[in-house]
Amino acid sequence: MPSSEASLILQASQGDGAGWETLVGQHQQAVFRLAYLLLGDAAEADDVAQETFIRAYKALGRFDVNRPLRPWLMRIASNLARNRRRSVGRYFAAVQRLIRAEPQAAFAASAQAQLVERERAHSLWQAVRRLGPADQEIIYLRYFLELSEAEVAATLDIPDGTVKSRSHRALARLRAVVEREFPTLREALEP
Amino acid sequence: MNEPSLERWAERLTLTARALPYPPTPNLAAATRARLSAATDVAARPARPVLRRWQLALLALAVVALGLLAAPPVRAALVQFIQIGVVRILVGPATPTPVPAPTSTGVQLNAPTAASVAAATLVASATPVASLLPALAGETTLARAQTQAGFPVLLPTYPPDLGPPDRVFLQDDGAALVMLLWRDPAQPGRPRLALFEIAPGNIGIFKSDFIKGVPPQLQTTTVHGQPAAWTTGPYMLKLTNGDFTFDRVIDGHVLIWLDQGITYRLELGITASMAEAVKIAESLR
Repeated sequence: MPSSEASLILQASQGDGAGWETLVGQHQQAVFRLAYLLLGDAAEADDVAQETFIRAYKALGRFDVNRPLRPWLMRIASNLARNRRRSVGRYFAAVQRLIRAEPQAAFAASAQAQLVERERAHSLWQAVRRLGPADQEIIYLRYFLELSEAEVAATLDIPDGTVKSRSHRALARLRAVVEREFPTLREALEP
Repeated sequence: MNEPSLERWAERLTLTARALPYPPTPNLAAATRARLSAATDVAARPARPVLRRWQLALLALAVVALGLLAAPPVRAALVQFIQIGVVRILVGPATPTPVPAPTSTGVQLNAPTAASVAAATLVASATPVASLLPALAGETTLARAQTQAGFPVLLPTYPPDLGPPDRVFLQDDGAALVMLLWRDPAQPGRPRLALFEIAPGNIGIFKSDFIKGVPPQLQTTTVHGQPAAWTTGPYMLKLTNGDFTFDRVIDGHVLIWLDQGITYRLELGITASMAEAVKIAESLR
Protein backbone atom coordinates (compact mmCIF):
# COMPACT_ATOMS: atom_id res chain seq x y z
CA MET A 1 0.00 0.00 0.00
CA PRO A 2 1.37 3.41 -0.80
CA SER A 3 2.33 5.19 2.40
CA SER A 4 0.45 8.25 1.17
CA GLU A 5 -2.74 6.23 1.43
CA ALA A 6 -2.07 5.52 5.11
CA SER A 7 -1.53 9.19 5.82
CA LEU A 8 -4.66 10.13 3.88
CA ILE A 9 -6.65 7.60 5.90
CA LEU A 10 -5.25 9.05 9.12
CA GLN A 11 -6.09 12.58 8.02
CA ALA A 12 -9.59 11.57 6.95
CA SER A 13 -10.25 9.76 10.22
CA GLN A 14 -9.39 13.03 11.98
CA GLY A 15 -12.02 14.86 9.98
CA ASP A 16 -9.99 16.04 7.00
CA GLY A 17 -12.60 16.12 4.23
CA ALA A 18 -10.07 16.81 1.49
CA GLY A 19 -8.08 13.74 2.45
CA TRP A 20 -11.18 11.59 2.32
CA GLU A 21 -12.22 12.95 -1.05
CA THR A 22 -8.81 12.11 -2.47
CA LEU A 23 -9.27 8.54 -1.30
CA VAL A 24 -12.76 8.39 -2.76
CA GLY A 25 -11.41 9.65 -6.06
CA GLN A 26 -8.76 6.92 -6.08
CA HIS A 27 -11.18 4.07 -5.48
CA GLN A 28 -14.54 5.19 -6.76
CA GLN A 29 -14.21 3.62 -10.18
CA ALA A 30 -13.42 0.14 -8.87
CA VAL A 31 -16.18 0.32 -6.27
CA PHE A 32 -18.75 1.61 -8.74
CA ARG A 33 -17.84 -0.94 -11.38
CA LEU A 34 -18.04 -3.85 -8.98
CA ALA A 35 -21.49 -2.69 -7.89
CA TYR A 36 -22.50 -2.28 -11.53
CA LEU A 37 -21.31 -5.76 -12.44
CA LEU A 38 -23.16 -7.29 -9.52
CA LEU A 39 -26.38 -5.33 -9.99
CA GLY A 40 -26.46 -4.56 -13.70
CA ASP A 41 -27.89 -1.09 -13.15
CA ALA A 42 -26.02 2.20 -13.08
CA ALA A 43 -28.38 4.01 -10.72
CA GLU A 44 -28.36 1.19 -8.22
CA ALA A 45 -24.60 0.90 -8.51
CA ASP A 46 -24.34 4.61 -7.78
CA ASP A 47 -26.46 4.18 -4.64
CA VAL A 48 -24.39 1.24 -3.46
CA ALA A 49 -21.10 3.01 -4.18
CA GLN A 50 -22.22 6.09 -2.26
CA GLU A 51 -23.36 3.97 0.66
CA THR A 52 -20.04 2.12 0.58
CA PHE A 53 -18.06 5.33 1.03
CA ILE A 54 -20.44 6.67 3.67
CA ARG A 55 -20.10 3.50 5.72
CA ALA A 56 -16.37 3.35 5.23
CA TYR A 57 -15.99 6.95 6.35
CA LYS A 58 -18.00 6.33 9.49
CA ALA A 59 -15.92 3.25 10.31
CA LEU A 60 -12.59 4.79 9.38
CA GLY A 61 -11.51 5.19 12.99
CA ARG A 62 -11.54 1.42 13.38
CA PHE A 63 -9.68 0.72 10.13
CA ASP A 64 -6.12 -0.58 10.35
CA VAL A 65 -4.13 1.92 8.28
CA ASN A 66 -1.47 -0.67 7.61
CA ARG A 67 -3.89 -2.51 5.38
CA PRO A 68 -4.85 -1.45 1.85
CA LEU A 69 -8.14 0.36 1.62
CA ARG A 70 -9.45 -1.00 -1.66
CA PRO A 71 -10.21 -4.60 -0.61
CA TRP A 72 -12.06 -3.29 2.42
CA LEU A 73 -14.14 -0.95 0.25
CA MET A 74 -14.80 -3.74 -2.23
CA ARG A 75 -15.99 -5.99 0.56
CA ILE A 76 -18.43 -3.36 1.81
CA ALA A 77 -19.69 -2.75 -1.72
CA SER A 78 -20.04 -6.44 -2.37
CA ASN A 79 -22.08 -7.00 0.80
CA LEU A 80 -24.30 -4.03 0.07
CA ALA A 81 -24.87 -5.15 -3.50
CA ARG A 82 -25.71 -8.65 -2.30
CA ASN A 83 -28.31 -7.28 0.10
CA ARG A 84 -29.74 -5.00 -2.51
CA ARG A 85 -29.98 -7.84 -4.98
CA ARG A 86 -32.48 -9.37 -2.65
CA SER A 87 -34.40 -6.20 -1.93
CA VAL A 88 -38.01 -5.69 -2.81
CA GLY A 89 -37.26 -2.39 -4.47
CA ARG A 90 -35.13 -4.14 -7.03
CA TYR A 91 -38.10 -6.19 -8.12
CA PHE A 92 -40.14 -3.08 -8.64
CA ALA A 93 -37.33 -1.44 -10.53
CA ALA A 94 -36.68 -4.40 -12.79
CA VAL A 95 -40.29 -4.74 -13.80
CA GLN A 96 -40.60 -1.01 -14.18
CA ARG A 97 -37.70 -0.87 -16.58
CA LEU A 98 -38.97 -3.73 -18.67
CA ILE A 99 -42.46 -2.32 -18.88
CA ARG A 100 -41.30 1.19 -19.67
CA ALA A 101 -38.41 0.28 -21.92
CA GLU A 102 -38.53 2.49 -24.97
CA PRO A 103 -38.00 0.82 -28.33
CA GLN A 104 -35.65 3.64 -29.26
CA ALA A 105 -33.53 2.89 -26.22
CA ALA A 106 -33.38 -0.76 -27.20
CA PHE A 107 -32.37 0.17 -30.70
CA ALA A 108 -29.73 2.56 -29.43
CA ALA A 109 -28.32 -0.06 -27.11
CA SER A 110 -28.22 -2.54 -29.92
CA ALA A 111 -26.64 -0.05 -32.30
CA GLN A 112 -24.02 0.78 -29.73
CA ALA A 113 -23.25 -2.87 -29.35
CA GLN A 114 -22.37 -3.18 -33.02
CA LEU A 115 -18.76 -3.18 -32.07
CA VAL A 116 -17.88 -6.81 -31.96
CA GLU A 117 -15.69 -6.57 -28.91
CA ARG A 118 -18.32 -4.86 -26.86
CA GLU A 119 -20.93 -7.36 -27.94
CA ARG A 120 -18.62 -10.17 -26.96
CA ALA A 121 -17.92 -8.57 -23.60
CA HIS A 122 -21.65 -8.24 -23.03
CA SER A 123 -22.13 -11.91 -23.86
CA LEU A 124 -19.41 -12.76 -21.41
CA TRP A 125 -21.14 -10.73 -18.72
CA GLN A 126 -24.42 -12.51 -19.45
CA ALA A 127 -22.63 -15.85 -19.17
CA VAL A 128 -21.14 -14.90 -15.79
CA ARG A 129 -24.58 -13.94 -14.58
CA ARG A 130 -25.72 -17.51 -15.12
CA LEU A 131 -23.39 -18.55 -12.29
CA GLY A 132 -24.06 -18.51 -8.57
CA PRO A 133 -23.35 -15.31 -6.60
CA ALA A 134 -20.05 -16.56 -5.14
CA ASP A 135 -18.70 -17.55 -8.55
CA GLN A 136 -19.80 -14.25 -10.05
CA GLU A 137 -18.08 -12.29 -7.32
CA ILE A 138 -14.72 -13.94 -7.68
CA ILE A 139 -14.79 -13.70 -11.49
CA TYR A 140 -15.66 -10.01 -11.41
CA LEU A 141 -12.96 -9.25 -8.88
CA ARG A 142 -10.24 -11.35 -10.47
CA TYR A 143 -10.89 -11.13 -14.20
CA PHE A 144 -13.12 -8.11 -14.83
CA LEU A 145 -11.64 -5.69 -12.32
CA GLU A 146 -8.27 -7.47 -12.37
CA LEU A 147 -7.57 -7.38 -8.68
CA SER A 148 -4.52 -9.34 -7.57
CA GLU A 149 -5.00 -12.64 -5.77
CA ALA A 150 -3.97 -10.96 -2.52
CA GLU A 151 -6.55 -8.21 -3.02
CA VAL A 152 -9.25 -10.73 -3.81
CA ALA A 153 -8.27 -12.69 -0.71
CA ALA A 154 -8.52 -9.57 1.42
CA THR A 155 -11.82 -8.57 -0.17
CA LEU A 156 -13.43 -11.96 0.36
CA ASP A 157 -11.61 -12.53 3.65
CA ILE A 158 -10.26 -15.90 2.55
CA PRO A 159 -6.69 -17.31 2.29
CA ASP A 160 -4.74 -16.71 -0.93
CA GLY A 161 -4.78 -20.42 -1.71
CA THR A 162 -8.55 -20.48 -1.50
CA VAL A 163 -8.73 -17.68 -4.05
CA LYS A 164 -6.81 -19.87 -6.45
CA SER A 165 -8.97 -22.95 -5.97
CA ARG A 166 -12.23 -21.01 -5.93
CA SER A 167 -11.28 -19.09 -9.07
CA HIS A 168 -10.40 -22.33 -10.78
CA ARG A 169 -13.77 -23.87 -9.97
CA ALA A 170 -15.66 -20.72 -10.98
CA LEU A 171 -13.77 -20.56 -14.28
CA ALA A 172 -14.52 -24.20 -15.04
CA ARG A 173 -18.22 -23.60 -14.41
CA LEU A 174 -18.16 -20.47 -16.53
CA ARG A 175 -16.47 -22.28 -19.35
CA ALA A 176 -19.14 -24.98 -19.21
CA VAL A 177 -21.85 -22.30 -19.46
CA VAL A 178 -20.09 -20.64 -22.38
CA GLU A 179 -19.64 -23.92 -24.23
CA ARG A 180 -23.24 -24.86 -23.68
CA GLU A 181 -25.02 -21.57 -24.29
CA PHE A 182 -22.71 -19.06 -25.99
CA PRO A 183 -21.24 -20.69 -29.11
CA THR A 184 -19.94 -17.45 -30.61
CA LEU A 185 -18.23 -16.48 -27.41
CA ARG A 186 -16.84 -19.99 -27.07
CA GLU A 187 -15.03 -19.64 -30.38
CA ALA A 188 -13.62 -16.27 -29.40
CA LEU A 189 -12.31 -17.51 -26.07
CA GLU A 190 -10.75 -20.75 -27.24
CA PRO A 191 -6.93 -20.50 -27.10
CA MET B 1 -9.49 -29.67 -18.83
CA ASN B 2 -5.86 -29.18 -17.94
CA GLU B 3 -4.49 -26.28 -15.92
CA PRO B 4 -2.53 -24.44 -18.68
CA SER B 5 -5.53 -24.59 -20.98
CA LEU B 6 -7.81 -23.04 -18.34
CA GLU B 7 -5.19 -20.40 -17.59
CA ARG B 8 -5.01 -19.40 -21.23
CA TRP B 9 -8.77 -19.35 -21.39
CA ALA B 10 -8.80 -17.04 -18.34
CA GLU B 11 -6.32 -14.72 -20.04
CA ARG B 12 -8.62 -14.42 -23.04
CA LEU B 13 -11.52 -13.89 -20.72
CA THR B 14 -9.74 -10.95 -19.09
CA LEU B 15 -9.00 -9.42 -22.49
CA THR B 16 -12.62 -9.84 -23.53
CA ALA B 17 -13.90 -8.35 -20.25
CA ARG B 18 -11.81 -5.22 -20.79
CA ALA B 19 -14.08 -4.28 -23.69
CA LEU B 20 -17.15 -4.13 -21.48
CA PRO B 21 -18.54 -0.60 -21.65
CA TYR B 22 -19.24 0.63 -18.13
CA PRO B 23 -21.40 3.65 -17.41
CA PRO B 24 -19.37 6.70 -16.44
CA THR B 25 -18.32 6.59 -12.80
CA PRO B 26 -20.32 9.21 -10.91
CA ASN B 27 -18.59 11.83 -8.80
CA LEU B 28 -18.89 9.99 -5.54
CA ALA B 29 -16.70 12.41 -3.61
CA ALA B 30 -19.22 15.21 -4.14
CA ALA B 31 -22.21 12.98 -3.45
CA THR B 32 -20.82 11.52 -0.25
CA ARG B 33 -19.60 14.95 0.90
CA ALA B 34 -23.16 16.26 0.62
CA ARG B 35 -24.60 13.30 2.50
CA LEU B 36 -21.98 13.43 5.22
CA SER B 37 -22.34 17.15 5.76
CA ALA B 38 -26.13 16.78 5.93
CA ALA B 39 -25.68 14.11 8.60
CA THR B 40 -23.23 16.34 10.48
CA ASP B 41 -25.69 19.24 10.41
CA VAL B 42 -28.39 17.07 11.94
CA ALA B 43 -26.00 15.79 14.62
CA ALA B 44 -24.86 19.33 15.39
CA ARG B 45 -28.36 20.61 16.05
CA PRO B 46 -28.88 21.55 19.69
CA ALA B 47 -30.81 19.06 21.74
CA ARG B 48 -34.48 19.83 22.04
CA PRO B 49 -35.08 21.60 25.35
CA VAL B 50 -37.30 20.03 27.97
CA LEU B 51 -40.77 21.47 27.65
CA ARG B 52 -42.04 23.67 30.44
CA ARG B 53 -45.61 23.46 31.70
CA TRP B 54 -46.83 26.45 29.65
CA GLN B 55 -45.19 25.01 26.61
CA LEU B 56 -47.01 21.75 27.19
CA ALA B 57 -50.27 23.68 27.37
CA LEU B 58 -49.51 25.31 24.04
CA LEU B 59 -48.64 21.94 22.61
CA ALA B 60 -51.98 20.55 23.78
CA LEU B 61 -53.74 23.42 22.01
CA ALA B 62 -51.76 22.70 18.89
CA VAL B 63 -52.80 19.05 19.03
CA VAL B 64 -56.44 20.09 19.25
CA ALA B 65 -55.94 22.40 16.28
CA LEU B 66 -54.31 19.61 14.33
CA GLY B 67 -57.25 17.40 15.20
CA LEU B 68 -59.54 19.95 13.61
CA LEU B 69 -57.27 20.11 10.62
CA ALA B 70 -57.53 16.37 10.27
CA ALA B 71 -61.03 16.82 8.87
CA PRO B 72 -60.62 15.56 5.30
CA PRO B 73 -61.07 18.82 3.36
CA VAL B 74 -58.55 20.66 5.53
CA ARG B 75 -56.09 17.81 5.67
CA ALA B 76 -56.21 17.43 1.91
CA ALA B 77 -54.74 20.88 1.54
CA LEU B 78 -51.72 19.87 3.60
CA VAL B 79 -50.95 16.42 2.44
CA GLN B 80 -52.69 13.78 0.45
CA PHE B 81 -51.92 10.17 0.88
CA ILE B 82 -53.62 6.93 0.58
CA GLN B 83 -52.70 3.80 2.46
CA ILE B 84 -53.55 0.50 0.88
CA GLY B 85 -52.16 -2.39 2.89
CA VAL B 86 -48.41 -1.96 3.16
CA VAL B 87 -48.38 0.69 0.44
CA ARG B 88 -48.67 4.34 1.30
CA ILE B 89 -48.95 6.68 -1.65
CA LEU B 90 -48.05 10.20 -0.66
CA VAL B 91 -49.25 12.38 -3.46
CA GLY B 92 -47.96 15.70 -2.30
CA PRO B 93 -47.00 17.84 0.62
CA ALA B 94 -48.32 21.35 1.02
CA THR B 95 -46.77 23.73 -1.46
CA PRO B 96 -47.05 27.48 -1.82
CA THR B 97 -48.33 27.00 -5.34
CA PRO B 98 -52.09 27.09 -5.87
CA VAL B 99 -53.80 23.76 -5.39
CA PRO B 100 -55.08 22.74 -8.80
CA ALA B 101 -58.70 21.84 -9.17
CA PRO B 102 -59.37 18.12 -8.94
CA THR B 103 -60.26 16.64 -12.26
CA SER B 104 -62.92 14.09 -12.86
CA THR B 105 -60.25 11.47 -13.31
CA GLY B 106 -58.01 12.26 -10.42
CA VAL B 107 -56.06 14.90 -8.60
CA GLN B 108 -53.48 16.80 -10.57
CA LEU B 109 -50.75 18.45 -8.56
CA ASN B 110 -48.88 21.41 -9.95
CA ALA B 111 -48.14 22.08 -13.55
CA PRO B 112 -45.23 20.30 -15.14
CA THR B 113 -42.24 22.24 -16.30
CA ALA B 114 -40.23 21.22 -19.29
CA ALA B 115 -37.17 20.77 -17.12
CA SER B 116 -38.88 18.57 -14.56
CA VAL B 117 -40.51 16.42 -17.19
CA ALA B 118 -37.21 16.09 -18.97
CA ALA B 119 -35.50 15.12 -15.73
CA ALA B 120 -38.12 12.51 -14.97
CA THR B 121 -37.95 11.11 -18.46
CA LEU B 122 -34.21 10.97 -18.29
CA VAL B 123 -34.19 9.01 -15.05
CA ALA B 124 -36.97 6.72 -16.13
CA SER B 125 -35.35 5.74 -19.38
CA ALA B 126 -31.67 6.06 -18.52
CA THR B 127 -31.19 2.37 -17.82
CA PRO B 128 -30.09 0.28 -20.76
CA VAL B 129 -32.61 -2.27 -21.86
CA ALA B 130 -31.03 -5.32 -20.38
CA SER B 131 -32.88 -8.24 -19.00
CA LEU B 132 -32.33 -7.76 -15.29
CA LEU B 133 -34.66 -10.49 -14.25
CA PRO B 134 -32.07 -13.28 -14.43
CA ALA B 135 -30.10 -11.37 -11.81
CA LEU B 136 -32.95 -11.30 -9.34
CA ALA B 137 -32.85 -13.68 -6.46
CA GLY B 138 -35.73 -15.90 -5.49
CA GLU B 139 -36.93 -17.26 -8.81
CA THR B 140 -39.04 -20.29 -8.27
CA THR B 141 -41.93 -22.24 -9.72
CA LEU B 142 -45.56 -21.37 -9.29
CA ALA B 143 -46.18 -24.61 -7.42
CA ARG B 144 -43.35 -23.88 -5.00
CA ALA B 145 -44.45 -20.30 -4.45
CA GLN B 146 -47.95 -21.51 -3.71
CA THR B 147 -46.70 -23.87 -1.01
CA GLN B 148 -44.06 -21.55 0.47
CA ALA B 149 -45.66 -18.10 0.40
CA GLY B 150 -47.75 -18.69 3.50
CA PHE B 151 -50.86 -17.34 1.80
CA PRO B 152 -52.86 -18.41 -1.24
CA VAL B 153 -51.18 -17.12 -4.39
CA LEU B 154 -54.02 -15.91 -6.56
CA LEU B 155 -53.91 -15.75 -10.34
CA PRO B 156 -55.87 -13.57 -12.74
CA THR B 157 -58.39 -15.38 -14.88
CA TYR B 158 -58.76 -12.32 -17.11
CA PRO B 159 -57.72 -11.74 -19.88
CA PRO B 160 -58.83 -15.23 -20.88
CA ASP B 161 -55.71 -15.87 -22.94
CA LEU B 162 -53.33 -14.99 -20.10
CA GLY B 163 -52.53 -18.46 -18.81
CA PRO B 164 -50.07 -19.16 -16.00
CA PRO B 165 -47.26 -16.67 -15.27
CA ASP B 166 -44.04 -17.02 -17.24
CA ARG B 167 -41.80 -16.12 -14.32
CA VAL B 168 -42.37 -16.50 -10.59
CA PHE B 169 -40.29 -14.99 -7.80
CA LEU B 170 -40.67 -15.48 -4.09
CA GLN B 171 -38.86 -13.43 -1.47
CA ASP B 172 -39.25 -13.86 2.22
CA ASP B 173 -37.22 -11.39 4.24
CA GLY B 174 -39.56 -11.31 7.18
CA ALA B 175 -42.66 -10.96 5.05
CA ALA B 176 -43.33 -12.93 1.92
CA LEU B 177 -43.58 -11.25 -1.44
CA VAL B 178 -44.55 -13.08 -4.59
CA MET B 179 -43.94 -11.55 -7.98
CA LEU B 180 -45.61 -13.00 -11.04
CA LEU B 181 -44.70 -11.95 -14.54
CA TRP B 182 -46.45 -12.56 -17.81
CA ARG B 183 -44.51 -11.97 -21.00
CA ASP B 184 -45.86 -9.80 -23.74
CA PRO B 185 -46.08 -12.14 -26.74
CA ALA B 186 -45.92 -9.15 -29.08
CA GLN B 187 -42.76 -7.79 -27.49
CA PRO B 188 -40.53 -10.57 -26.24
CA GLY B 189 -38.45 -9.57 -23.25
CA ARG B 190 -41.11 -7.32 -21.83
CA PRO B 191 -43.81 -8.28 -19.45
CA ARG B 192 -47.45 -7.94 -20.33
CA LEU B 193 -48.27 -7.49 -16.69
CA ALA B 194 -46.65 -7.95 -13.31
CA LEU B 195 -48.51 -8.84 -10.17
CA PHE B 196 -47.01 -8.45 -6.72
CA GLU B 197 -48.68 -10.19 -3.78
CA ILE B 198 -47.29 -8.86 -0.52
CA ALA B 199 -47.94 -10.33 2.90
CA PRO B 200 -48.27 -8.03 5.88
CA GLY B 201 -45.16 -7.77 7.97
CA ASN B 202 -41.93 -5.91 8.11
CA ILE B 203 -41.45 -5.08 4.45
CA GLY B 204 -41.96 -1.49 5.44
CA ILE B 205 -44.02 1.31 4.07
CA PHE B 206 -43.93 2.18 0.43
CA LYS B 207 -44.12 5.86 -0.19
CA SER B 208 -44.48 7.56 -3.46
CA ASP B 209 -44.06 11.25 -3.69
CA PHE B 210 -44.47 13.43 -6.69
CA ILE B 211 -41.50 14.88 -8.41
CA LYS B 212 -41.72 18.58 -7.92
CA GLY B 213 -43.56 20.05 -10.84
CA VAL B 214 -44.62 16.76 -12.37
CA PRO B 215 -48.26 15.90 -11.95
CA PRO B 216 -48.89 12.35 -10.85
CA GLN B 217 -52.38 11.02 -11.21
CA LEU B 218 -54.08 9.23 -8.40
CA GLN B 219 -57.54 7.84 -8.59
CA THR B 220 -59.34 5.94 -5.95
CA THR B 221 -61.50 3.06 -7.04
CA THR B 222 -62.62 -0.26 -5.65
CA VAL B 223 -61.81 -3.89 -6.21
CA HIS B 224 -64.64 -6.12 -5.06
CA GLY B 225 -65.96 -3.16 -3.09
CA GLN B 226 -62.65 -2.62 -1.23
CA PRO B 227 -60.70 0.65 -1.58
CA ALA B 228 -58.04 0.61 -4.28
CA ALA B 229 -55.69 3.15 -5.80
CA TRP B 230 -54.81 3.61 -9.45
CA THR B 231 -51.68 5.62 -10.07
CA THR B 232 -50.05 6.79 -13.21
CA GLY B 233 -46.67 8.41 -13.21
CA PRO B 234 -44.27 9.84 -13.35
CA TYR B 235 -43.80 9.98 -9.64
CA MET B 236 -41.04 9.22 -7.19
CA LEU B 237 -41.28 5.95 -5.34
CA LYS B 238 -39.53 6.00 -2.00
CA LEU B 239 -39.26 2.63 -0.44
CA THR B 240 -37.52 1.72 2.78
CA ASN B 241 -36.28 -1.82 2.70
CA GLY B 242 -33.65 -2.98 5.14
CA ASP B 243 -30.58 -0.81 4.91
CA PHE B 244 -31.66 1.06 1.84
CA THR B 245 -33.98 3.78 0.83
CA PHE B 246 -34.95 2.96 -2.70
CA ASP B 247 -35.62 6.05 -4.71
CA ARG B 248 -36.80 5.82 -8.30
CA VAL B 249 -38.98 7.52 -10.83
CA ILE B 250 -41.93 5.34 -11.66
CA ASP B 251 -43.82 5.89 -14.85
CA GLY B 252 -46.12 2.91 -14.99
CA HIS B 253 -49.77 2.33 -14.44
CA VAL B 254 -50.31 0.60 -11.16
CA LEU B 255 -53.37 -0.64 -9.31
CA ILE B 256 -52.98 -1.33 -5.59
CA TRP B 257 -55.56 -2.99 -3.41
CA LEU B 258 -55.90 -5.04 -0.27
CA ASP B 259 -57.73 -8.32 0.06
CA GLN B 260 -57.73 -10.67 3.04
CA GLY B 261 -54.69 -8.91 4.48
CA ILE B 262 -52.60 -9.31 1.33
CA THR B 263 -51.55 -6.21 -0.58
CA TYR B 264 -51.74 -6.58 -4.33
CA ARG B 265 -49.87 -4.39 -6.75
CA LEU B 266 -50.67 -4.84 -10.42
CA GLU B 267 -48.41 -3.08 -12.88
CA LEU B 268 -49.43 -2.69 -16.48
CA GLY B 269 -48.10 -0.99 -19.58
CA ILE B 270 -48.80 2.66 -20.07
CA THR B 271 -51.64 2.05 -22.49
CA ALA B 272 -53.72 0.16 -19.94
CA SER B 273 -56.84 1.75 -18.48
CA MET B 274 -58.02 1.68 -14.89
CA ALA B 275 -61.15 -0.24 -15.90
CA GLU B 276 -58.98 -2.90 -17.48
CA ALA B 277 -56.80 -3.11 -14.36
CA VAL B 278 -59.83 -3.45 -12.07
CA LYS B 279 -61.22 -6.15 -14.30
CA ILE B 280 -57.95 -8.07 -14.01
CA ALA B 281 -57.86 -7.49 -10.24
CA GLU B 282 -61.38 -8.75 -9.76
CA SER B 283 -60.61 -11.88 -11.79
CA LEU B 284 -58.07 -13.16 -9.27
CA ARG B 285 -58.87 -16.67 -8.10
